Amino acid sequence: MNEILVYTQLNKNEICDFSYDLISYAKEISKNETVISSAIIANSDFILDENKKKNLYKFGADKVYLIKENFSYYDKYYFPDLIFETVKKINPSIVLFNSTTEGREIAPKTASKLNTGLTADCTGLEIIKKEDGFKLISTRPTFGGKLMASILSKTTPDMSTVRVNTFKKKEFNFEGEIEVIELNFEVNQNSSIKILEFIEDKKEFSTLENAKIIVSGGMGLKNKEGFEKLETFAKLINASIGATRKAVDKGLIDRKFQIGQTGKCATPEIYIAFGIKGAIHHIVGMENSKKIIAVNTDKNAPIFNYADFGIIKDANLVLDELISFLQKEKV
Amino acid sequence: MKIIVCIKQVPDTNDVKWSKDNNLIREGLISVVNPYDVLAIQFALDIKEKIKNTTISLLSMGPKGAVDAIDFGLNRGCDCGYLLSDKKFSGSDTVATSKTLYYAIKNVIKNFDLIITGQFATDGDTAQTPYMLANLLNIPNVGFVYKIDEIDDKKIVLYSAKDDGTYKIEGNYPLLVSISKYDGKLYKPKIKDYINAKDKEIKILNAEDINMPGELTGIKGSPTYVSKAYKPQNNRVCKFIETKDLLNEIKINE
Repeated sequence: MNEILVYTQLNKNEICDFSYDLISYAKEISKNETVISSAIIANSDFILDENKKKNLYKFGADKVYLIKENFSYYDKYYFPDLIFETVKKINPSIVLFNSTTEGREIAPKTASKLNTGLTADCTGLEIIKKEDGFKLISTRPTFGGKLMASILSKTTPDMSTVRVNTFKKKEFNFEGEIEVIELNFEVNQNSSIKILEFIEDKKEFSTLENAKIIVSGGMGLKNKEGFEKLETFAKLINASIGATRKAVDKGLIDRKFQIGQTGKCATPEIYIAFGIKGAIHHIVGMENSKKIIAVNTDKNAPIFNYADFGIIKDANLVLDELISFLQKEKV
Repeated sequence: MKIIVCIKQVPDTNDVKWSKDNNLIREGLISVVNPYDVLAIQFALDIKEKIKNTTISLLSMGPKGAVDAIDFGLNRGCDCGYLLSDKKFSGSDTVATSKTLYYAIKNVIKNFDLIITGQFATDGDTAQTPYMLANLLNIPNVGFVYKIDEIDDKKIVLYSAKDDGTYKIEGNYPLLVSISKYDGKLYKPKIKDYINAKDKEIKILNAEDINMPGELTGIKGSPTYVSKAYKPQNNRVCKFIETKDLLNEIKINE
């Protein structure tokens, strides 16, 4: 009962870094009062080697449930059934998922099967001790980021999906080793859904989440040429690219670069916003960056309220200047 | 083919008020059709163009004023609308909302081949309701869909964009599909559809009409509740600099 179960996501049979982050976060909020366990669903290609066991343990997991199934790597439609069975068997107080597309697909179906509450895309977690276990307080931005809401659930287990980059992994356990428990369930694997083709996104999968520097563009860049300049500048300083929802909606750049409420959440060392006004739904996706620099023609643009440094100037012009400085330096 | 499009009227997020018990006060806010649901409507209309004898039913839940959202779809060529409106439904979280939609589909609309929803709603941004609805109806679903590859009356082939890449997926009916962006074009209402819309029916349904037990509805039927709502904090002070200084600011941390 006093257990926090963390769904642990794999990418090509490797444990995703953000899953270690979430295990560490669970350990941090538990203040050593609950067991932290990791649930991994894997097929026969996955090997839980010593290195993975060591990492899971080090970053905070006391146990790992290894749910071995015979599935093709991309068919995850019955994962909710497997997590549902796992939860019924081990009866945890709290179940956490990363707020990735995978987590956001598995969690709601699992919650619906368990008839329990689920809070989406949280940016903060806390636990409170009750007689019969622990309750979770999940905090999330709501209403386009205008408000933060702390949400509780009347049912158990408490479930939340947690935004990537909310917490960075750290080492908790030093001596000892993780307990490995293998689980097998018989679930219906028949589905009318067939995956005909998978085109891997080589550039993507966490480049934004792990970027040291992000240069991000908004409507102030005006057009595709503006975004090409942004890309040139990004390459020169070895940065990743981000964008606002509006720029994405206008087709200036692909949606996978979107940062904010409905996009990705980024916490780089340096975030440079070019031509971004600072709509609150963008702010919630980048405000936790260490250093924020904003470029905008309007000195009253809300983005400057969230920035450490500002330049009041046309973003296209500033990009031209920066690119020319850097190219001269190279020569 | 019978299509149900689930749509939601969302408030303009610039003017938020909460009640004493920390529920959203939706009255008095300017409302729009959730942008992702606009894509879902267009997605359905494009299928209707391709497949003969397709009917599109719009299903929404909200106060009486949410008929505007249904009118939006009817004016563009959808065929009929259902609005789930009852004081008992207010305060529903995603669990209670998905159950309400489930009861309406099971007991009133009954027949369907395809359910289309937006992936997110811009007010709550949970993206949970479609998945929960698919689970309750015990039908497969495909999320993060942005394009139809082919469709006939037996199957649909779709493209879905997830974190790790693009999936080309084939599904048979019944099926639930959630749209996160759309490669098709958004059309303005045609005069013909606009005129026809006047004769189309919108059924207003309460908990009794959909045969939903009271204890499952609204706040009572919602596991989650808002315990506290507050304004986000921000402590940064901006120092204005010149372009050349920007490069120094980047170098410091390198």
